Amino acid sequence: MKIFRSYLFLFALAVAMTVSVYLSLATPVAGNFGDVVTFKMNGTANSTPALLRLDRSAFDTLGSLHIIASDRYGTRQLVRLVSQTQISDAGVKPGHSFVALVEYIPAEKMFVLGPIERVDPIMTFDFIPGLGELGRNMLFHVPMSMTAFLAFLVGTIYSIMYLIRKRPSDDRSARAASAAGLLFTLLATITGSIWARFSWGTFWNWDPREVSIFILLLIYVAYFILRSLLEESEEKKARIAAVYNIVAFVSVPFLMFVVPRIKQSLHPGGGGSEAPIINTSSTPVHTDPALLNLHWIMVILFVLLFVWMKDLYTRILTLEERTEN
Amino acid sequence: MEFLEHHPLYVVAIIGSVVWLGIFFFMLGIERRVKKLERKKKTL
Repeated sequence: MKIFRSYLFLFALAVAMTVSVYLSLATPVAGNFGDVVTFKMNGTANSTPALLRLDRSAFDTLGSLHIIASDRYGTRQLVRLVSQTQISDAGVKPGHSFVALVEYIPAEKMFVLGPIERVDPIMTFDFIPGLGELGRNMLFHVPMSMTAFLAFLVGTIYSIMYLIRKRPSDDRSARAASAAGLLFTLLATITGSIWARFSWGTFWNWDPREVSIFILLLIYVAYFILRSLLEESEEKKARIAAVYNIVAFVSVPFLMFVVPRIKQSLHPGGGGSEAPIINTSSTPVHTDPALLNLHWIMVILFVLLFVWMKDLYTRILTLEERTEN
Repeated sequence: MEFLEHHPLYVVAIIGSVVWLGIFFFMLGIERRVKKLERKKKTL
């Protein structure tokens, strides 16, 4: 892991992460004309952000401006402006794409254009029904959970290696990886709680997935408490901790993947309901490619961040041990 | 969500990026201190 000690590499990681965090938070969420109609008709939202392309505009005899715009599916609809100067003020010209709040008026079968939020966006995220702006949390919450799983797996592999080779460096690596896993689980829980607050009304609902992640947190907190309470020799302490770490990891796949899918859950995928939002298959939910690509970039960056954290903590433990000796 | 609704997305994105950079430079500070100690240990 020598590369993680190079400042050049670390700065490249920082730049990549900053760009990804910025894109995750600044990319507008936008639907289309179909979404606008659906949400109006089922009472979900009066107006919905939509990604449109201005084809042409013209004044009618009464002096109000009508514009023809298309969405990504090529359907063309007449859009009436609320303000005549709205388009020119925003700098939208024919051929430009823009994200604007659009409201459907069923009685007139007409779309009313609300405020224009972005002109010619670099990219947009699909409008996910029921999530809207919250959908972007998927770029933090899910990669953090995936990294936590990987960290616990790496910790277990090092624990197995310690029991086989008896090298103190393996024990330090196992400890560092498990600590990073605990940190990422905690971050995933916090981002999940914020998501739950705005989607389900409260920060904590005792949903099966929340219960399982809470148990997982307790199991790994117990690992560190066990280590600090043992008064045996360093070697015996490391051996007991390694065995505990392996046994603890046996519960991880069950708590992270099996239990939340068996029980009825508010989470997507719970109790055989719709699949999780991250889904590359064609059915039943297909994830927006922009969101999916950025999601995998975030997963890679979080994994690199984990490797750096693990390496750093292992070196700190090595220094501590040498000082004690 | 209230914060998101009342601020343009780029403001939220800049705050998010600054928070991340804060974490990064904090870790970089630890990295530098660890490197220094490792060098010291080697020379001893």
